[in-house]
Amino acid sequence: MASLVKLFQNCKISGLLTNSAKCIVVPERTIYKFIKKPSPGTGHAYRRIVHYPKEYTVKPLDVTNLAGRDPVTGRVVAKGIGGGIKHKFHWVVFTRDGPKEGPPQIERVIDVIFDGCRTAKVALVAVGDQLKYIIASENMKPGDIIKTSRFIPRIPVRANEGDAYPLGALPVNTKIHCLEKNPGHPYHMITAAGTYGTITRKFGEHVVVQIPSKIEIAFHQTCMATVGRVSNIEHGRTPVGSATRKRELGYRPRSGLWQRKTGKHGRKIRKPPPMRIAKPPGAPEPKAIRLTEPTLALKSNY
Amino acid sequence: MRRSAALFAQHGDFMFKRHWLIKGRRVPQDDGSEAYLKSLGIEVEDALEYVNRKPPLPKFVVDRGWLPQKEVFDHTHPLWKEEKCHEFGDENVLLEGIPQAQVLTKSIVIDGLPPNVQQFIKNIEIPAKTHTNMKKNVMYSCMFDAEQKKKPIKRTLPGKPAHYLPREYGISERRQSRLLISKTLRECDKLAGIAICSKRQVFTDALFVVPFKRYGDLIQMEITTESYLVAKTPIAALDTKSSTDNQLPDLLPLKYTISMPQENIYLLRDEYPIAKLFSHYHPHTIFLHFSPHEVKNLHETPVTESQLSSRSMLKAFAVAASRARQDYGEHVNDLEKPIVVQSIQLNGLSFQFGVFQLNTLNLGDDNGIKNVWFNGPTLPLCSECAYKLGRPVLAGYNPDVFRYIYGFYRNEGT
Repeated sequence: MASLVKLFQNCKISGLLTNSAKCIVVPERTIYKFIKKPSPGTGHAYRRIVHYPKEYTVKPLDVTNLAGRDPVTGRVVAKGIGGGIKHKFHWVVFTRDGPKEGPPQIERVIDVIFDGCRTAKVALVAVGDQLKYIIASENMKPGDIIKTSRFIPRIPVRANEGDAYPLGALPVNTKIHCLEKNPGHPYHMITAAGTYGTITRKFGEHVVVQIPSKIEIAFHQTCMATVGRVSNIEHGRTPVGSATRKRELGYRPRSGLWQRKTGKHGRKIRKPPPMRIAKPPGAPEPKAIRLTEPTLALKSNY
Repeated sequence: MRRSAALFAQHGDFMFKRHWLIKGRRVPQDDGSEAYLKSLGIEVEDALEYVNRKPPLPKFVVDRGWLPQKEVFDHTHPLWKEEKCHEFGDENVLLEGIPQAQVLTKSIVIDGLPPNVQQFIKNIEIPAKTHTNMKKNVMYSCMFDAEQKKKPIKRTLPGKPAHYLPREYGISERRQSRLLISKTLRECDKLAGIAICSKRQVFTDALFVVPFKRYGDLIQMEITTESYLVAKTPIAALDTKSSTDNQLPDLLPLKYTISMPQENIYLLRDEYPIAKLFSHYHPHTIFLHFSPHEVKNLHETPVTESQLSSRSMLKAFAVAASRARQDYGEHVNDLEKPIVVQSIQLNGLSFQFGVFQLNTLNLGDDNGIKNVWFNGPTLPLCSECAYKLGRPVLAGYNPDVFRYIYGFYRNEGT
C-alpha cells in the first residue's frame, strides 16, 4: 500500500501534458505478459463463429469452427471440442411477431430441414414474400398452416401445434417451447430437441411455466411461446454409439476417468426450488477504465 | 525445472503488478462535476483524447488517371432505382413451382400435350437405323467425348459422412446436354428431309430479356436457352378461349413473387436474339439444360418436379413474351395471333416436354383470356449409360423420347 501511495505522489499531470510522446522503454524479456482468458459458460460459444450477412437470409451460412478456442486470444477455453463434420448454419428467427389486434397472421410451413448445428430440426416458413426459419415442433410437416398473434383474449385460445401466442392467451396445461424470457428481449428458452415446458397456473399478470428441468418460473403474460414440443424427440434416446460418431459430432477424445464430484452420473434428489419470477434483463455494465502501468504489456482485451 | 517462478513467488514487484491488474480497472463514478462545468458553459473533453489527438492531415488524393473507378453497388450507382425489380434468371426456381408460375404468368395448366401434337407424335414411325444412331449419340455424349473436367459431386460413403471420396473427372453436365441436343437435332434433320429442314434454324445460347408488370409489381426475366430452334412459319395456335373462365390458383398466405430476388440496381430492356429482317425468326422449340448443381433453391434443398416444370414454363413464357414485344411493341395486351413455344428440358438423361401458348400480356389483373401451359410428360432416355467393368454400357434405351423430340421438330400446329 505504501508503494502505491508513493507512486501516486510522484504522478504529475503537468509533465504528462507537456511531454506526452515520452514512454519508458523496457527490455522485452522483463515484460510480464498477462492474457485475459475468458471462462466458458458466460454466454459465448467457442464451437463456431457464424458469418452473418447484413440482411436476413435463408441461405445456409458459412461458419468458422473454433475448436474451443477464444477467437481474440487464440487460447483454448473449452476443452474437448474440435474436428467433426462441418455443417452450414441456418439462421433461425426466434421472435414470432404477430398482430396485436384482429385475426392472427397465417404462415405456411414449406419444409422441415435437418440442421447439423443444433439438435432440433428447423422449419422453413413462408408468409407474403418472406421466408424464414423457425424451430420445428414435434409433428410439423410441409404444408402445415401455423398462426401467430400477440392478442390476449378473455377466453384462452384453442391453439394448434406450431402456433405462437402470448402466454396469457394459452390455456393451462398447454405444452410450449421457444419461450420468450422477457417481452421484446431476444432470448428464448426451451429450444433443444424434444424439450417442452408446461403452463401450470396463472396469477396477476404472470403465467407460471414448468421448464424442462422441472423448475417453475413465472413469466409475464405477454411473453410469446410456441405451442407443442420441439422436434426430433428421439434425440435424447439415441445413443452416440461409437467413438467415431462422437468425433463426427465435433468432440475430441477424452479419458474415461470417473469423476465423483462432477455430478455427471446423476444428481442427488432434492426438493425443487420454489417458483421464481423471471429476472428482467439487467442494465449494461458501466464501462471500466484500464489504468496503465508502463512495465505491464497488456493485451487489448485485458 | 524452471526455478524463477518459485523464486519470484514473493517478489514485491510481481505482486504489485498482479495487484495492479485487478485494481487498475476502475469504473469512474459520476460526482456531478461534468454537469456543473457544462452549466457554467465550460466544454468538457476527455483528457486522454485531448493529449493523444493529432492535427488533421491534409488529404492526399491519388490521381488514378485512366484507371477505372471501382464500382460501388449502393444508392450512388447510376442504375439505382427506388422501385425494386423482381428478377428471374437461369439459376432461379420458384418456391411453389407450377401454381406460382401460373399466377406469375396468368396461365392455366393442362396436363398432357395438345391433342393434335399427341396424335401427330403417335403416328410417327421412326426407322430402326435412327434408333441405332441415337444410341451411339447417347453413348458419345455421356462416355466417349474427350472432355475431362472435375465433376461437381462430392460423394461420401453411406454411413460415413466424414469420409470423402476423391473427385471424379469426366464430361461436364452442360457439355453432355449440348452434345445430346446437337446430335439429336442432326438426326431430326436427316429424318425430316430438306423440305422441313430448310424451314428450321438453330441458335445456341440465345438471350431473352423481357420486363413486365404484374399486379403493379415490376418483374424482369433474363434467361438463356441452351439451343433455340426457330422456324420460317409460326406454329398454329390452338383455340383456348375457354381459358377465360378458369381461375388461377390461390397461393395464400404466400405472395406470387416469393423466392424471386429483388434488386434496386437494374436496367430494363427488351432482348430477342433474332432481328425481324431474318426470314427464320418465329419461335419454335427451346432446349433447356438443368443441372442440380447450378439451379438451386436459396435454402439449398433439392429442386422438386413441380419447380422443374415451372422453370420450363417460365422460360417458354419469356421467349414468347419477348417475341410478342418485338412484334407488337411494348404496350401489347391481348395478342391477335397467339404465339406458341415448345419446350424440352434436359435433366441429365431425362427429358421434360411442354408447350406454352401466349394469348395475352395484359397481366395487370386476372380477368380476360389467359395463357396456356400444356404440361407434357417427363421421360428417361435410358436407364443406365456408364462404363461397367471397363466396358461402355447403355441399358434401357427408351425409343419414345426421340419420337417426342422428332414430333416437336416436325410440328407446325396443323
